[in-house]
Amino acid sequence: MSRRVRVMAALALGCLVAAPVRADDDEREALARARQEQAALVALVARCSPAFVAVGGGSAVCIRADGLIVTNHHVAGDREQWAVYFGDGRPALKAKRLGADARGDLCFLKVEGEHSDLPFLPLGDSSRVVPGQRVFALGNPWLLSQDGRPTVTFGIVSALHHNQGGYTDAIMTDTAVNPGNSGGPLITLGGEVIGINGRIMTRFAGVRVNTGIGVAIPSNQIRNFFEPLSTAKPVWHGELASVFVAAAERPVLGVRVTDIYTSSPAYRAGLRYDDIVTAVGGVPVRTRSQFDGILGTHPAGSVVTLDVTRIDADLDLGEPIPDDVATSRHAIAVRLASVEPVRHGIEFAVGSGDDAPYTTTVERVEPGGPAWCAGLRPGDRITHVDGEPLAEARQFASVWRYGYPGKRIVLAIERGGIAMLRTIELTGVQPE
Amino acid sequence: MSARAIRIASTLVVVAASLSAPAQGERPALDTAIERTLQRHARALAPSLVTLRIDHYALTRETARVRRSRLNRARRDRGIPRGQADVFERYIARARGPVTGLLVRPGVVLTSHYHVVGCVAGVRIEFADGSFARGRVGGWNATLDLAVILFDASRSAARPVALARAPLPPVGASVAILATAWGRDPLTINVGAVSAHERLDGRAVQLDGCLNAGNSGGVVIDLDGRVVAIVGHVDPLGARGLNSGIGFATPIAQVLDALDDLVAGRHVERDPRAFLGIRADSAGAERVLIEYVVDDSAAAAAGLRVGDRLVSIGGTRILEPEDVLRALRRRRAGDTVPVVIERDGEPLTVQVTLGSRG
Repeated sequence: MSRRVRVMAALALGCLVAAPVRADDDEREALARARQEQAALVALVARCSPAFVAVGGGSAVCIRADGLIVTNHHVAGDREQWAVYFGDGRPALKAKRLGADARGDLCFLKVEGEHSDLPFLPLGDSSRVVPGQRVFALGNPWLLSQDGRPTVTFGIVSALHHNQGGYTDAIMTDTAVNPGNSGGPLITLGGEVIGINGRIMTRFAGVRVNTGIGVAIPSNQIRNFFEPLSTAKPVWHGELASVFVAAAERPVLGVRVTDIYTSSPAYRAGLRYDDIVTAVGGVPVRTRSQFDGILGTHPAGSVVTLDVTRIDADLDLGEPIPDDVATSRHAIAVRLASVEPVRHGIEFAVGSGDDAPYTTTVERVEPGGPAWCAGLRPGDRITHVDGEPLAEARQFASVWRYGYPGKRIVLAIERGGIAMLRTIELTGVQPE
Repeated sequence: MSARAIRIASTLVVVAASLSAPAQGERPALDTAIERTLQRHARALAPSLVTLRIDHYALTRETARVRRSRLNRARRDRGIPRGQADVFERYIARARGPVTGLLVRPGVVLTSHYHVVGCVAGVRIEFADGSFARGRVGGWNATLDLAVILFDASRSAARPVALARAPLPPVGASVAILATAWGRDPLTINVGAVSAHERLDGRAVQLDGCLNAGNSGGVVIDLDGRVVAIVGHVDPLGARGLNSGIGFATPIAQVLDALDDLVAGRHVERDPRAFLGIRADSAGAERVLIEYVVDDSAAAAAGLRVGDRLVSIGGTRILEPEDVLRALRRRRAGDTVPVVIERDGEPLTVQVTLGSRG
């Protein structure tokens, strides 16, 4: 069944021979319950398996009756067209790639043509998953399947909110996950997809087989990026720029803000030095990597609420927090900047002096770039950014540091003594 | 929907709802029922399980040279070409540790194949009651990964298990695997689920239990305590005999079909795998081109060339390189398949007689 119910019972042979087998009431009841549980599991697997999809060298799952398929970017991200094999063994269908997210290792495919009755599994709510909960995986490890029917492996959720590097808010499971399981679903016993299996933790890079620690992308990350992925738009991951944190244990568990720029959106939204962030978007955080990781599962430009415990005392810099300190709780909503660099397409003219190496006069405008499209031209002098005066070009750094693709910025410029307003829309720079 | 089907469906809804009882962190109180039932059946079956110690490797001290010469002799005896000697030795080398066997008839122990073919010196059979006997290798079947060890039935009072045809448990069902993993003395039981049917060209059922090299020859039982499969094919796929969550077992129906031949001492070699001899690469837009043709292969003999576009192999459309594997999976060496290609824009059908590798 699962690793949890797996027993490695060392049965002493002599004792075994002596023990008579009695089917007393207790055992009959156990058998009846076992049969009932087994029947439910078998029915569940039979119900879920048709929605499994084999694609290329990996796995995938259909999440909508019209043939919307989720898989890993490293399975299906590099080609436009795929043949997909549903788990019920029907002949191959053609699918085309929709959105692809290399950073989040997610990719959406759509079965071509009009469909309304393809087998699918709903996306579950990964925030309701608990460690220890039984789950199972559908996949096509080692391409063993000859007809699209998946391999079924059972296990439990081992850990949650693990920033694995690539997968920043991963579900870890002891369900057997092997090469070829990539892109396949991790499913609750309620039949909902709560993750996409994509990686295996291993100590040795060369040995890529199941180790008992499979790593899955949570379904809520898929939900957060659903719109761009399903409409084939570029995907941008969020971050809280210019906020630095460290794990904290007192007065509450969380991460303590150890530095914050006053120019940052977080500061403007009310986050302060020494605040302790206890949860990001409702998910409790304990470490810096969790803090960064959970933010990374939200798109740039989206608003995330931080649960903050504020220390209502005047502490000196670096002074330990007293146990009996007064605290207050706040919810702070912050708009996320983009992890990837954004583009505005403006170069400033070089000024004189070390303090202001660049003037606020535009020297070059990237042809076809966001500033060009908004009508900026070389020689324009930028006086205000979003209503705030621009004293020196350095301050303009916040435009790209806290920006995100699609963000609109209103610039007040002076051209030949005439003041005018121009709105530029930032674009992203796709990573290679 | 019939009344019965509705009743079953409603029962399942209730059970599924109780199974899914999620986020509150409580353990659903039903995970012990399957475990306990399987444990009870395991206890009943334990007296019929034996530990096999392969003398050749476990009990004698040999120099590497002597061992190598014995291996070579065993290889020659079986007519295995020198090129495959390493594969041969890799499988035999696993036989160093004790493995599991099942007493199926008086004087007959069933186990999996590769652990015994390399054995020349004999086998020591250790029974659950502590007695032991010397045995010799009877028949073996490399395709099904089975072998029998024969011994003098009067040496042991152990009761053979009566094997009977049992349906394979459905996918998702729990089974127990009884074996002597790593050859340590106590019997081990671990519980896994049926992952898939009809694996390895229909020769095996796939399990997600903890199957290591020492589990080979172990017994798979279902909730009713029936022997439904014999563990074999221990990870031929690259985990080097360690558990990867992908294990295989030979279904009992196929075991029973082969048992008489095994007892009679018949030897069945592995079916040679079909080998076409091309490497295919995607050229985008569902175009798959031949990138490389192996010299002296079936493809070369049939006149396939680099740059030919593959349209179909044996009726399977080739839309991507993986489809070539899919098309060849169920084929055997010697089969003739029509290969439709497109060369210089012209469709062309070529009959290819598949070969085998090596």
